[in-house]
Order: sequence, then structure tokens, then C-alpha cells
Amino acid sequence: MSDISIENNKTENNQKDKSSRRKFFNFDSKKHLSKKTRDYIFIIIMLLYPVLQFVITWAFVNINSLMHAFQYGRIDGTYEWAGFDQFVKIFDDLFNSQLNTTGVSWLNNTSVILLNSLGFAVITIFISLPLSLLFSYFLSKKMPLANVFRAIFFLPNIIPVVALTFAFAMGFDSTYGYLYEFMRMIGFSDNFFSVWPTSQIMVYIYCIWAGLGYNIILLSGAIGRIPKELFESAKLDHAGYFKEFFHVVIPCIWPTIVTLVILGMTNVLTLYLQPLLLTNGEGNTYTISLDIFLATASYSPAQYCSAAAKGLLCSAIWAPVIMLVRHFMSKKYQGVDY
Amino acid sequence: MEDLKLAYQGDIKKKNKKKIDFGYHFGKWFVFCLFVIYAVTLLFPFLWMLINSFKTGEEFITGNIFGFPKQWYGLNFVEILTYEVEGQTVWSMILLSLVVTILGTVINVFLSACAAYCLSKYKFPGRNIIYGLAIFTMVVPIVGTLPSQVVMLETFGIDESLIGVLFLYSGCFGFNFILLYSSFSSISNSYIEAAQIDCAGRFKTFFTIMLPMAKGPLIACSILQAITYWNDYSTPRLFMPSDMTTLAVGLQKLQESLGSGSGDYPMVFASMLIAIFPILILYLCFQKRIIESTNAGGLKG
Repeated sequence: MSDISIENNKTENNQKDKSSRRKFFNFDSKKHLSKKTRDYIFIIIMLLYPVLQFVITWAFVNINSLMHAFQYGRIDGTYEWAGFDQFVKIFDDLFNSQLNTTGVSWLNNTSVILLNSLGFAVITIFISLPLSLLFSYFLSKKMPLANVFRAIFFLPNIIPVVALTFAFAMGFDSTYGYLYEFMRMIGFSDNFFSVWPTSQIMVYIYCIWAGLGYNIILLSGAIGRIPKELFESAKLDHAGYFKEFFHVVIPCIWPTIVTLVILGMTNVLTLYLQPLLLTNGEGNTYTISLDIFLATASYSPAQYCSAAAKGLLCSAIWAPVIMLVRHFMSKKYQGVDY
Repeated sequence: MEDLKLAYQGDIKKKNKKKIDFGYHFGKWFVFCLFVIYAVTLLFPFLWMLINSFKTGEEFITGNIFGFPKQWYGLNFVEILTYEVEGQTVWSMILLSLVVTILGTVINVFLSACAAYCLSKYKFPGRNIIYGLAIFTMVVPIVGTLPSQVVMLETFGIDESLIGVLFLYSGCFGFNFILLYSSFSSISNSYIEAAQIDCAGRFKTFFTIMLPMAKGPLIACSILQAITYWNDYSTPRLFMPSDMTTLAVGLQKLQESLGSGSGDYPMVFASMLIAIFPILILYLCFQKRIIESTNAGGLKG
């Protein structure tokens, strides 16, 4: 509170200036306001909209969503309390639903959604991340054309996702695709975009292809910030490149790795555009949030409620897992500071 | 004897070093090849689209899929502008996208700057709560609230309208806020003091001194935000009236009606390239800055 005062050393001239200006603008009343009060007026004016927008949106959306999770929605837009019925229905669908177009006996159309979503965490953490770590390490080692590569790898992040998915899918189009025959050769069926699990594999391949660049940019940026002396002292200790990578690079960029792992885990709950645009929801490529997105796009209150329940349940289970992983991962290499 | 031993050890070390060097160089060039392949897979689809967008629909359908066009046909780019999907021309989609992007970006970045400046330069009760909440909502994913956003905008009477979309875009406690917060924090307080000695009011100080001083980060935020809004699919799709489609959403409709519908793919390619073009220009001009701020944003997240 005491810091609010920024030193106020006005010369006489300035004060005259100000008071004459005040008179001109008829601001005389303000003269009596203390500096602190004027600071508060400034803060309130500046923060009024941002904070109001934030509080209203956040409170309304979360409270409303929480209520929906325990309600039934009717077509006329009225809601009725449902207790835990929506949650019971989710578990019932998950374990007992007979609806199964996946072609795999131990799955059904609901559990495959869960499997698809969790898959995104697995591929980002165990395929994309190690690959991009390796790539970034070499990219930081005076690789020729490094900047050109960086510029190209970043492209998927700025191209509209509709255009990017279209460009990807076009390559595998049965009539015009330049990779269609190749996929047939390695054993994919005729219409692999609409049959599970190949449809899901294509979505995963797309996500690795489009997501690698972002990881590389972040990781090579982090590696670039490691002080050169560390590499030099590692060299003096006769550490090979292997040792250098695991004992210098990894600990130094650990916070970035943690961030990417967390982002990968968040994908489980948030990724939906890619499957929607690649397969149009065919071929059982639904994810948790695609399910929620399409429920929203249907503008039907009944669907709103089940979507809210699904979202709440998944967040309640998955968010603590993410927090735990974050906690434990941050603990490793905690003392590394440079 | 000792000398010999040392020399021998030195030899072994040299050999080891050679081995490591070989492995390292092999790895490096192997990764270089992988990089080239990956870069090609990223660029090729778009080059292929570019070349094919200069063919007539007929030429493409009748089998010239990989060759250069027999005759370079540039009219696809003109025809697509006046092509109508669900009563809306592509031209109007582009205009709408521009309006949404520019308004959204200006509103979002300006408000982020206001909030970031206040929180970084003034200490007042509740400051830490606001900052903490902003970080908390960014870190903790809560899904399933999308339907409630629809209900909220319906309650306020701004569903299916440009105002509603802008209202959602005006939520400013995100990456921009964090980025601007740290850049305002790094500007010394003495500038504010100096401004006050010169009798500049608080608003004047903010607009004429602090904002210009944070020009770099502000530009970076604006570019990234503009790209995000230009590309945004879900917000306009869910919250804009159905006869007001932005280009990013319209591309999907075009692809359905022109591509899968009538097979006139060169026109679809042209529309995709038109959507990419403005971003590519921005990217080429500000590439370094964009990548740098992505780095900063990713780290803070």
C-alpha cells in the first residue's frame, strides 16, 4: 500500500501550470482529492472492464456449467434437477453401452472416446517430445540452415487449422492423394479415414506432424539459453555428447519439458478440432472435447447438460492428475539454476 | 615409462574422441536428412495446392494431378471471391474476417495492456488475487463449459452476433497479459516519476510514455493475437450468426460444397491459399518476433 506513492516533487511552476489547466478544464474539485484517491480512480477505470468481464464470464460459465451437470434440459429451454443421473448415465454408457461400430469387441462407442483422448497424451509425451528433444539438440549444434528449418517448422502454428487439415487429408485422398497408394501398400484398408483404428492413427499422425514444430521451437529456444560455459566445462570433464545431452541439456531445460508434458496431458481434455476437421466425426475419432463441442453446436439443452456432466467429471479426475505430475516432475532437478 | 603410459592414455582418448565425433557427426547428418524430409512434408502439400490452383477444374479432374498446368489459369483466384456459399460470397467472408480480427486484436491487446500496466505498476488490495486467478484459470483446464458460454451469451442477448464474439475475445487475462505484465515490470518506475514531475496525469503517462515504451511486446502480442483470431474456427462457428461466416469457418463450407460436392478442387485450393496469404505476409515480416514471443509464452505457461 505504501508503494502506491510515486515520488511527487513538483516545482512551483509546474503546480501553477497544473492548477491553471485545472481551472481551464473546470477540474477544480479534483484539486482536493489526495494522490492516493486519484491512484485508485485510475486503477478502477483501467481495471473495471477487464476484471468485470473476467469475473462475469468465469463465474457465470462455471456456476451455470456446474448446475447443468446436475440437471435435465428440455427442448423449451427449461431445466429440471436430475441429481447424479447424468453421471450415472455416463458410467452406464461407458461400461454397458451395446453401441459399437469400432469393430473391436472390448470397446464400445463411448469407451473408444476415452481411449482416443488418452492416446493424445501418450503420443505427445512418448513420441513427439523425445523426437523433438533430439531434433532440438542437433538444431542447436550449429546445424546448417538451422534458421530456415526453424522458420519452416513453425508454419503449422500459423496456418488456419482448416487449411492444414485439408492439405494433410488431400494427400491421402483416394482419387487425388499422392500418398494414398503408399498407405494401401503398408496395409491400410480402402477408406482408412472412416474406419477405426486407422482413422484414429491418421489423426495421431497428423497431430505429430503438425505439432512437432512447436515443440522444436520451444525446446531449441530453451537449449539456446543454456550458458555456453556449461557445455565447455562438460567438455573439460570429457563428457561425450550422450552425457552432455542427459547431464547438461535435460536438467537445464527441464522446466520447458515439464511444460510440454503438461500441455500434452491437457490435450486429453481439450483437443477436438483436428479429429473434427480430418474425419468429420466419422470413424469413431471422437474425443472428450469433440463430444462436448458437438453437443454445444447442436444448441439443444438436453445435450448441454450431459456435456456439462462429462466435462465436470473428466476435469475432476484429470486435472488433479495433471497437477500431481506437474508437482512431481518439477521436484526433479529442482536445484538447477543458471 | 610414465611418459609412455601417458602417451598411450592420450591415444585411447583420441580414439574415443574420434568414435564419439563420428557418432555425433553421423547423428547430426542423419537428423539433418530427417529435417529436410520433415520440411518437405510441411511445404509440399501447399506447393502442390499452389500449382494446382492455377489449373481449371476440368484439367484437374481429368487427371493432371501432379504435372504443371498446361495453361496457367489465374481466374480461380478471382472467381472464388464472388463464389457464394449459403448466400454469402467469399469476398464478404474475407471482409468479415478482417473486421473480427482487427477489432478483436485491438480490444484484446489494449485491455491486456491496461490490466498488465495497473497490476505491474500499482500496488493495491486485491492485486495478488487478480494475478493469481489469472494464472490459475490458465493453468487449470476446466472443460465442458462451452454450452454454458452459449447460455451466457443468450442471457445477455448477444448470442449469434459480432458483439458476442468480441465480448468473448475481450477476455484479456491470458498469455498477452502475462507477457505485457513482465515487460511493464521491466520498465523502470523512474519514467513514471519523471512524467509526474512534468505534471503528466496517470492516463497521459500510460498512453504517451508507457505504451510507446512497450511497443515491441505490444506489436508481438498483436501479431500473434491477430493470427489466432484470423484462424479461429470454434468461436465464430458457435457464436456468429449462420449467415455471417468468417473465412476460417467458410473454408470448411467451401471444401464441402466445391470439393467433395462438385470436385472443383482448384477453386478450393485457391480459397485456402487466400486464407493463408495474409498470415504468410505477416509471418515473413515479423518471423523473428513471432517465434521469440511464442517461446516466451510457452515458457510462462
